[in-house]
Amino acid sequence: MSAVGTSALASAAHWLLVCILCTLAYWVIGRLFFRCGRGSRVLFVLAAFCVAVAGAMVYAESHTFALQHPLLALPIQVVFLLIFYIFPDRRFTPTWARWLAILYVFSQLGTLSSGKQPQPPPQQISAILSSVPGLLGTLMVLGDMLAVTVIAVGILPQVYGRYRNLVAHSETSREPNRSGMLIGVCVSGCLLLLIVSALFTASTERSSSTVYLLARTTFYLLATLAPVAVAFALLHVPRLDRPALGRRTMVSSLFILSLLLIFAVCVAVLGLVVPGFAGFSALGYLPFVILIAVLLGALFRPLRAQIQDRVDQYVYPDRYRARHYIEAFHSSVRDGSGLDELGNQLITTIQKAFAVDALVLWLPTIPSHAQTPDIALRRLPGSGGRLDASITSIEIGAGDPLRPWLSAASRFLTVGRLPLDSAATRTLASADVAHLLTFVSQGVLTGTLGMGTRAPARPYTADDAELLMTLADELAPMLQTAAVAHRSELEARQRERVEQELQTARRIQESLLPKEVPALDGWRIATRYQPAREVGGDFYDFLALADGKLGVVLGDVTDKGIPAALVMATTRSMLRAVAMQPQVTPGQALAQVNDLLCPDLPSSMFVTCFYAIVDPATGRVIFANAGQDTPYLRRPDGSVGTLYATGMPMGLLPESRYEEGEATVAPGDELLFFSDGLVEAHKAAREMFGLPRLQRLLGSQDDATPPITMLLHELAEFTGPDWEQEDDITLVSVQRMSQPDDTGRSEEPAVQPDASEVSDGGYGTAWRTLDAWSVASVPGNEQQVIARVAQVVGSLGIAPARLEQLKTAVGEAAMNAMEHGNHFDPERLISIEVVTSQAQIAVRITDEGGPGAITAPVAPDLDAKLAGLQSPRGWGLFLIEHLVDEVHVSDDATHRTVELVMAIDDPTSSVPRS
Amino acid sequence: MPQASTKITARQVNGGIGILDIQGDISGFAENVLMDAYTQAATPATHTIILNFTGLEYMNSSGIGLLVTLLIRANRQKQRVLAYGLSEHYRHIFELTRLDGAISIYESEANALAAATAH
Repeated sequence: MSAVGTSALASAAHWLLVCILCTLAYWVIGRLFFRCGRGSRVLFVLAAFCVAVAGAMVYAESHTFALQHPLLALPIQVVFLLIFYIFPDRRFTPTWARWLAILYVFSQLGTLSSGKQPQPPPQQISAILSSVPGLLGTLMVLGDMLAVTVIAVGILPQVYGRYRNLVAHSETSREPNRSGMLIGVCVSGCLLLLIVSALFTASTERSSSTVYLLARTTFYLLATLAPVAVAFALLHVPRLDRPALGRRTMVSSLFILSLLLIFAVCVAVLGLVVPGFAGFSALGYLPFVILIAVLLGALFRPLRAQIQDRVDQYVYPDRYRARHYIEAFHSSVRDGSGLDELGNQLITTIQKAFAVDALVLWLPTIPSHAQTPDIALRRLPGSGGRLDASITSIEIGAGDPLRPWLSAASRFLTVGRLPLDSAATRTLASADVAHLLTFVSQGVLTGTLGMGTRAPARPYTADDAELLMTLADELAPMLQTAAVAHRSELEARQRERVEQELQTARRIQESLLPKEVPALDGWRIATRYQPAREVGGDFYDFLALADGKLGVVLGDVTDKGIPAALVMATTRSMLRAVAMQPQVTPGQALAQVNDLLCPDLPSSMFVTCFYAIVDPATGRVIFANAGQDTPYLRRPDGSVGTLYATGMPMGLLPESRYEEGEATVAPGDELLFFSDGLVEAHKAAREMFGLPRLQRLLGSQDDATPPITMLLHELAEFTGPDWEQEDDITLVSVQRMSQPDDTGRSEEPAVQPDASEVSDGGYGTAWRTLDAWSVASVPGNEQQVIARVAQVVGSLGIAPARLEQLKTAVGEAAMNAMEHGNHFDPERLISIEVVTSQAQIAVRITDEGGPGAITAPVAPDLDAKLAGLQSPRGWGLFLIEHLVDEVHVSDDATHRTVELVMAIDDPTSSVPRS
Repeated sequence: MPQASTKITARQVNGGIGILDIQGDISGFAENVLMDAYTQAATPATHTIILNFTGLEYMNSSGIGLLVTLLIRANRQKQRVLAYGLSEHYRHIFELTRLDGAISIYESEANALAAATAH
């Protein structure tokens, strides 16, 4: 008996020693693996394979041992359970695998408690099969093997999940190496089979010592790798953290004790209720064991959670509070919260959870990707506590050794223990920041929480760190989303403000320009106002003076935007009020306005202005000038003179006097007033359009083309396609017709709203411009174009259905111009001109695309599209061509104009327009 | 930049019919909204998709392209696509593009449903 006892004790000691040594060995291996091979796929697959196979082997060996020494096996089973659960790593032991483990262990315990001890077993599994008599032994061994296999296989998906996680955080590619995993799984499966079959072979052919030796060696080799799972679990704790280990050990011990207790009670109750339970046959006994194991399995999680909670509550109240605060935060925080809201919630939670008031949250000022070398962090306003007065922003350069620590994964760093010397850490340390919690989502730092020391010098335990890192992992993507939303909101608000201001200025300005040009017998007056992107201060005005005279004003306010628009409005009103007084000459009018403006205008602002009074009957013009470019007077013989007068711009010097000049506009003569936007336009090489060019162009102008059209065309030629208009361009042409009848205008009953130019447009019939404007090439702007065209055209009496067609066609043409002509470059504009003749309406849409066909390569065909032979898109031109009466395309070197023409009366309808 | 205001709600009727109620614009901007709504409406049992254009405010060629894409997807699933609530103008455009051959147009939801269930 004593010999047996000694042998059993020696065997148990041997087994325990192997376990302990292996644990230590694997702790070292795992440590190395984590330090060097973080993200290495090969190493990871290797480790995964080891965990799977070795785990299975340890089980097999333990079973053999349990059969040999049932009484000694009991503590070893308990130790084994402890090892499995003290450091639970859910990544390696799925719940159902734990159930199986419990089933296994308790079936062993059941065997012991039933008093049916198996025969002294031989060394190998197959031998067990032959030596344990009856069905029970066979079932037990087969069941155990099944459990072993299932557990081994069950671990693999967990390892796979862990692997994915690892790859996602370390590599640029987020797709895991599936083939690598597959190979690992296959190899481990094959080895498992090989070893089991080798053991079988060895047991049946004991004499074949080579095979047996090989099998044993392989087995021990793999069994030595078993505790890698424990090593992983240990590595979960970044350093040997006694409080954390103590807490886990306490929780696990209590847990296992509770399980054993429940089991014992169950067996005792069964013994009382079922008579002769202890003496049951093997088959009758098994269902009870399974039933109890299932019961324990069901209790497993809630029981463990309960025990953990109670232990925390009474032994570790700090952790208990922290965990509850953080859990509450998890459940309340929502994706989509604002950045500041999220940040403040986080700070409040951590303040409460860890009783620390010194907390500061820094958020990246620019999106810092793993590739971006520098990190710039700004402090969340209001965060700081005791750290408030210290640092508001941190810059971490590419060369800073702290940099790599901030992008791999969310971490809890202790500033004083970082194995590096960096400017940033020194700054942090000087500001009493003891710990950093980094929030990293997909390799991008989305926030950093600086934490001061806790009030009573209580260190953060590994459990605290783990809690914080879990929180950081969950919160990092939310912070990222919130930061992106925050940034775009700020940008949008800024854009909106600027845009609103511009629009207000433009509205003020446009509302003050004359809605119509005066109709004078024998005279033709045309204007063109082309605002720059940023609203300037050009204005012009026509004053119907007493005795039928016409006042013409053209001015320019320095400055841009709303201030310019306001000064312009004021000047215009003053000039109107002053000039309308009887017998006020232009010089007097300018002088009076100057005196009125001087006290109110800021010193940096002034107004240039040219004011002329035209007597339509005689052609006599009296004028005065306040610093404005002098208008040109073109004679039919091609000579070009100026209406020369000098004077200071208004608003600079009080009591300025303005020289007056006088000229006569004979029939056929033409006056051109212009703002500096035209003559000061320059091309990329800084060459200005200039007065000489303007004078030359006017001199060589043919009579057929209206001067304004000609000048704008020449300007476009001069500046080229990429020109961005810097200043408003205003042109006013006052032409005295050589014969009173050819005005083409005196017959027209009334001036159309917004009509601003009369030109022949080169299309034979007389076209009148109803409206002209430009929009940026931004998708969606075509709807603005449609709306404005509809508004302009609405009064012409076009049939509603045809108006709809025109609207759709205009939208398509505008889209085409923005997309194909201007490539949706927001800096490039498309200009729209709505013109009308008596019978037709035309919309001209010009882009900066230059010459080129606008036709689609193939006509769209629905069947071909449905069959996948054509792109589903490409309907635009088709629609345009089918929705309007005519489409004309014209282009020059830099522009392409598509003109959509539609009859005002429906040509297909027999009912004439009333 | 003006953003398209498109809202499409998907509802299921009689098991096999998915109705997409379109509110706003069908332009290039509506791509995600439309395709999401289609995905929501199309269950494996769906045999007919009905597009409710009563709330349509604006549709352009990109929108027609989207409808063609939707039609291709529906055809692959052996689903029919019907429509109702189209204004005169957009009916005209359906005729021009021959979409009316591929998407039968009805006056009202009741008519479209009757056609969908009769089939």
